[in-house]
Amino acid sequence: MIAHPKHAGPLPAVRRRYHLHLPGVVYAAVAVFTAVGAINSQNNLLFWLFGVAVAGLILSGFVSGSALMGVQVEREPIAESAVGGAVVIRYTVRNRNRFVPACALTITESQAVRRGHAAPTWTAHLPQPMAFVAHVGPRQAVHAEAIVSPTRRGEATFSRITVSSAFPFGLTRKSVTFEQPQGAIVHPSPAPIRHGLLRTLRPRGDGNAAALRSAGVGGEYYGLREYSPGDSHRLIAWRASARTGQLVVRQTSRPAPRRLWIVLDLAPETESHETADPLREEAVSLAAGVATAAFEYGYAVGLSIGGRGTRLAARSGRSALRALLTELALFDAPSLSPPGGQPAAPPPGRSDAFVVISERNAPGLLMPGGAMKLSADKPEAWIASGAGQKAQSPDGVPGQ
Amino acid sequence: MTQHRVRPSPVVVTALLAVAAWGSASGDAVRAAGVAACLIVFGLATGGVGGRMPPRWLVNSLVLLAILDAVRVALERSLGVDEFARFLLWVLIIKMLDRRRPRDEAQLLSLSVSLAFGAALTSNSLATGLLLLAMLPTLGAAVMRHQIASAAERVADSRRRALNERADAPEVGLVAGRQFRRDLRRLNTICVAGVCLLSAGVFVLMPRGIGMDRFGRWGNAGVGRVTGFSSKVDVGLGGLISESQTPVLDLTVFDAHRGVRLGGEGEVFYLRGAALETYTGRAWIVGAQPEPAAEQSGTLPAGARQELGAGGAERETRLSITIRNAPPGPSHLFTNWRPLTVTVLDGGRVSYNSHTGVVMRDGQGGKFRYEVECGRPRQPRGAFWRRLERPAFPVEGVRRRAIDIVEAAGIETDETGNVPLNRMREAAIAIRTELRTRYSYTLDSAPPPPGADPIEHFLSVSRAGHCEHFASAMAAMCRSVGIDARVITGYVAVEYSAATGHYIVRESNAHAWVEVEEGPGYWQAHDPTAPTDLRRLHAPRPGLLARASRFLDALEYAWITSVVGFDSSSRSSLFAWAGSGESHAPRLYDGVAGDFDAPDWKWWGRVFGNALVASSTVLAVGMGVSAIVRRVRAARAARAKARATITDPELRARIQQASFYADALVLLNAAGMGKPDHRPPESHARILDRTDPAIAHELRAIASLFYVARFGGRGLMPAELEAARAALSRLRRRIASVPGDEPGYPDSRTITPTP
Repeated sequence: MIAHPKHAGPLPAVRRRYHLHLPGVVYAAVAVFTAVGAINSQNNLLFWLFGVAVAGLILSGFVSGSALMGVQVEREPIAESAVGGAVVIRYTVRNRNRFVPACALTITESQAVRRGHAAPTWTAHLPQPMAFVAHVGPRQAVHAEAIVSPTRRGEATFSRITVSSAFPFGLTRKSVTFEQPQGAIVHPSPAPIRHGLLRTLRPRGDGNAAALRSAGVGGEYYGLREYSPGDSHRLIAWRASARTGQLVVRQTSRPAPRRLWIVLDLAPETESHETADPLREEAVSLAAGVATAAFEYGYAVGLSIGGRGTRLAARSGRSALRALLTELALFDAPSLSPPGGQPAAPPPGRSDAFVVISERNAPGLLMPGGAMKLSADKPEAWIASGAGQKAQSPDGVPGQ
Repeated sequence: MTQHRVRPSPVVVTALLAVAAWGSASGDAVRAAGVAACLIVFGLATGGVGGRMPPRWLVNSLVLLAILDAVRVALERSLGVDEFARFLLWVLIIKMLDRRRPRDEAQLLSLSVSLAFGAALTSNSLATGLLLLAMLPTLGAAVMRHQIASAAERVADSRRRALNERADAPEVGLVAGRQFRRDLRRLNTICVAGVCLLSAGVFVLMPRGIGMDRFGRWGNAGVGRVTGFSSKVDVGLGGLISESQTPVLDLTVFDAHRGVRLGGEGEVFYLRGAALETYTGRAWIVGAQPEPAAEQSGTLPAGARQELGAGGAERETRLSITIRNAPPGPSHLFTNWRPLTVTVLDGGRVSYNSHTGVVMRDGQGGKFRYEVECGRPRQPRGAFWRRLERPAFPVEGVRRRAIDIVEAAGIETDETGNVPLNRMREAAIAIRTELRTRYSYTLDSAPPPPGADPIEHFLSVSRAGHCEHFASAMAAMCRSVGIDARVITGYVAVEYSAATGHYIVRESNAHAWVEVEEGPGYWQAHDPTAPTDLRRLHAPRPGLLARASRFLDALEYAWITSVVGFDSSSRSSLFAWAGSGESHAPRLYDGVAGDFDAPDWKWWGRVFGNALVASSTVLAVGMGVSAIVRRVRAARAARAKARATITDPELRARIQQASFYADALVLLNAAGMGKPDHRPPESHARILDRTDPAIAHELRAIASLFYVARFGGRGLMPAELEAARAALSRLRRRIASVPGDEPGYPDSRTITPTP
């Protein structure tokens, strides 16, 4: 998992630069031409205009420099996003200058590689994020946002933030770079699966077997446990307490959700990580779509990725869905731990349902009984009607 | 949020100022006014970025037409500054119709700046300079806003691309508030002040007199557009004499020996320009020079002095003259009789004819400054030794009239009608007196009938005319009685400005008079125009407007001497003043031209010392003021803190409960409506009532609930808290929806306003 570092203090600027761009070159050429004209003609108004041109150049550098000297930018933790959705990268921009406001600030992510460090990987997952701040008054702070649509799942790492401005006269562009390593997870885009697809799932074994239970909030008796401070007095089992000589409380049970295992059966990787295999990505996206739909149906969903030893325990809830999508995003990332490094998940139960997802429809695949088989190359079997292509919404949740 | 786009209205103001500067420089006020009207109308019609505009193809077609017209003009005649400026005006008008994006606004600004350069190349007048100066703040504001707008547009484009052109992509743009405007204004003021200071420094430090005309003759702008002087007197023409009050030249008269200024109210100086010796039957012209060997010419660098030959005269006066707009090519320099030395301050080719005493210059047009030392020729002793060598004046009527006049004065003529050699001066004076007393002055003279000699017609029939008629008649009559005479044209300097100690010579001060050879090479000036008429005609006009005009002329003179006429000698004087002694700094610049001389380190040390003392003083004063300000602020903050310190825990809890009040103040502060510490909320609400009653209402509601918590002796009830939160929410919404006339951006929100 990627850490989101918290900085105790303001980030130091690692690089300050002046860039002379085309308008500046044109301006300098006009200034030189004015000087030539003034010297040639001894026209004093031209001498003054040349002075104005020189003063503009000096002041442009001075004002933009002094404004950016006081600017500090910090990237806020980036929330997970999905391919095709939108990720908002927020920056806090502080102007520590006492007098000079900072205006027309453009904030971009740098692709520069820090010496001795890995190159940032955001370029593989996102277009260039660009945020804009019109004005930060002296001793003020503002928030700025860059909104981009991720293009590829995985881990996008960020390294340097560059703030630049051509304000006030656009003659020179001054930039300041801050070092702030950070990462963001880009989940796969959940494929829009057909409505009611999961209703056709049949659990293995005895479908009428008693539901698994666990301690929780429910009406049915589950067991007794030792009293702990904060327990309601109404839950105390007085008879049992008298019997055992210590306070015990009643526990009620809640029915455990049905469990669904998604088995992602992928062919061994042959290509580099730089280029994604479309069918493979489609399969991952389909797994994400099935998982999202299953969670909405109330399933506890587990994940097993064939050939990698990756297995996530079947759990329900939003955090479990996030964990599963994160696993789908990162399972083939080169920086992750090798197969087998994951903590062992409990084995599937007899009543669990299975969805096996593969890249291609392979007839010889060995499958558990009652399992549903979906393949990425046969979308007509699972894709939602009317979704010729994946429906994409800003929050990454497909239309169902 | 998209309706509050960046609309840098200073662009229109900048364009208007550029057009005004060009109009002032070119003198084409009508065209400039027309263009300005178009710009205003189109600027209002298009209404900035996002306004209603004609289709782009139409705009591009119009621009193409303007370009084709400029090419046609360039092929037919050369494309000078004037023609190029007219092309720019067309494009400016067309582009004012097309302000869709910040880039279009940038093009308008570029056109305005180009037009300003055109104005500077056309004229160096005070009005042009002031208008260019006035452009600085509007240009600065426009450029700053353009930078923000273009950066916002770039980010918006990038965002659209990054979101795959999705329709629901959030846009860039939101109201920014008063602090944004205030900061921008402050920054612009600082920038303009900085530009003025730095440009003044560069202006002073730039070397002068080096590399002039190295790339051909161009760029020397004059001050004004007229010279008002003619080297031909056509007495056969009728019509009005020009009464234009346009200043032509500035004259300062010094005593050649003592260096003190001469002149004053009522003192008149004649500035001779052309000497006209040939009469064609209708007009006096320069004609063929009888003594070509007398021509003396040479190219003088700026500041060089040329001796013109003493001719027996002693230096008396030194005239310092600035011709505001000399015509290109050969033109006359104005001197007194007779010129002894000439020093050209702007450099150029100067020629001198010792026979006529005429000094000419040849060079590019524009302002031209020079100094000429003049002396009065000594009157030869003894009898005049020679008679008029040129043929007598051919018109019989004029001759008869001249003989009548001199004989009436008791001077007998010989059988050829010539006066005796020893009474030539008396005869000339008699003729002059006759003209002054028996003829009347009029500005509106009727032309003579066809076939009639205009001078004879003036003497016998009309008996009224202007200075050219009087001068022509006297020269003709003198020649008729054997006295050599010539018509002189130039100016009379009569308008003395006590404030500046110089004479302003206007176009209406053009004059003609006569020089009579009263001895060998001794030409004496005679003005046949009656002095009363002369004074009446050339006296400064009375009235408030005339006074205001003279005040402006004095300002213009100060502008000319300090800015337009700033040269190496001015810089030298300035350095000498700064260094409290003789300046050596200009030598450094002279060294650039190939004559480097080692600087005097002692002098530089003195300059450095003075600068150190001055900067230390400024620094010390600044630090003192800053310390006082800091102390006052600290005391004020301490008082506020003491007021805010509350020891009662119950009261503190109640105030904490009423934190919505602090939130409301933060919101108001961020929106530029912050409440000063000293002002009670009710008073602040009353002030806000004038601008936004809704905000004031919410503030009142919030403040009254805060007062309950603060002074009511009880905590707020849940319903009251709910009401306070609702009021705060309404206040927030109201502030967010205030339509600003300023640009704004959604991505930037103030989260920590400055305390």
